[in-house]
Amino acid sequence: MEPDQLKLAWSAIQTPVKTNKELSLMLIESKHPVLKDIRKQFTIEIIGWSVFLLCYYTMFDGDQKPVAINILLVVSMLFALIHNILGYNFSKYLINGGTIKSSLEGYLSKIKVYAAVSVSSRALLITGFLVFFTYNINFTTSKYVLLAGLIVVSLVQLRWLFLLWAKRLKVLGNTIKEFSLEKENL
Amino acid sequence: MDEQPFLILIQEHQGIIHKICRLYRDSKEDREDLFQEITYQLWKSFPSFKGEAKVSTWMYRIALNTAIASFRKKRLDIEYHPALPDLPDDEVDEGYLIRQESLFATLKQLNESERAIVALYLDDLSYRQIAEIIGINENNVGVKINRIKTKIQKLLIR
Repeated sequence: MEPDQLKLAWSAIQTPVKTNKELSLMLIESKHPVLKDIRKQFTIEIIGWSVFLLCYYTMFDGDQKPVAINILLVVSMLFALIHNILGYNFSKYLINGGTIKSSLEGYLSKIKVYAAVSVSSRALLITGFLVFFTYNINFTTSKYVLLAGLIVVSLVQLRWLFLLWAKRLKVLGNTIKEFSLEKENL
Repeated sequence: MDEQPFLILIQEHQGIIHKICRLYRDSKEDREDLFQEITYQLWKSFPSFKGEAKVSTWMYRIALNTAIASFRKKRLDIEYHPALPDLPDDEVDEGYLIRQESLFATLKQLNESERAIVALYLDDLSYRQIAEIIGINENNVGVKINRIKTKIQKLLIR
């Protein structure tokens, strides 16, 4: 296929047609595919953590643990909630500039901050839970093994999250670089 | 905000969005999600569209930006037939489908930045318009298009 033939083939592509009603529905935030998923996760987490916060103090002996540990647990949960709110707003605004290159550069700067918040909020949440539930425990060998297992699983989870973000940042960074590379090669 | 003028524009130029979705996503579900994402982003940026640029220029800018920036959902790897048409069977012939598949199979071997430039080139936008949309100068566009053409020729010879 020659370039002209490619152009002909491109212009001859028949595309499906969306109706006005279908298009109109796509403008509603609650129907947005990514935002819908974030909202669902957000709702489940808020309900779960609210229930936990309401009963942890008595059910899990929060009243018998130092205030600092209680604060750490609550702050780690709030930080996770803030992370979700940031993620929601972040997914809502993908356009950050007047050209594709400047917009992607702006987006990359924002995504770097969000990635850092994402990994650190998960680390804080894991730390908050581990410190709270292991405080005042009389450790036996089996409990140490269990704790070690929990720490390993948590570290693997954090590493996976870190790699996921690193990959996303690398892909986006490379695309921006590809747009810029031409300048250097001229 | 009044939806009607926006919907008229999208209705008229929705082919652009479909082509970008086809170029950047493999499965039908991913293309549907991206179509919705692009339409939503266009709607959000519609108030800042003053009509100074051509509608197609504005749409390409937002659509390509969204296709590159948005995350792909993780889906199970389900094997699907790549030639499944998005149109009813009676509207397409086999030769057309083969040509279309061959076109997209070739274009999808380009990297994401090249795909953006080639989409604009194939839609007959001038180097100046491409430069304005991407945010690089016209000379760079020319160099890049020549390289892409060479790359495509090589891919087609294989």
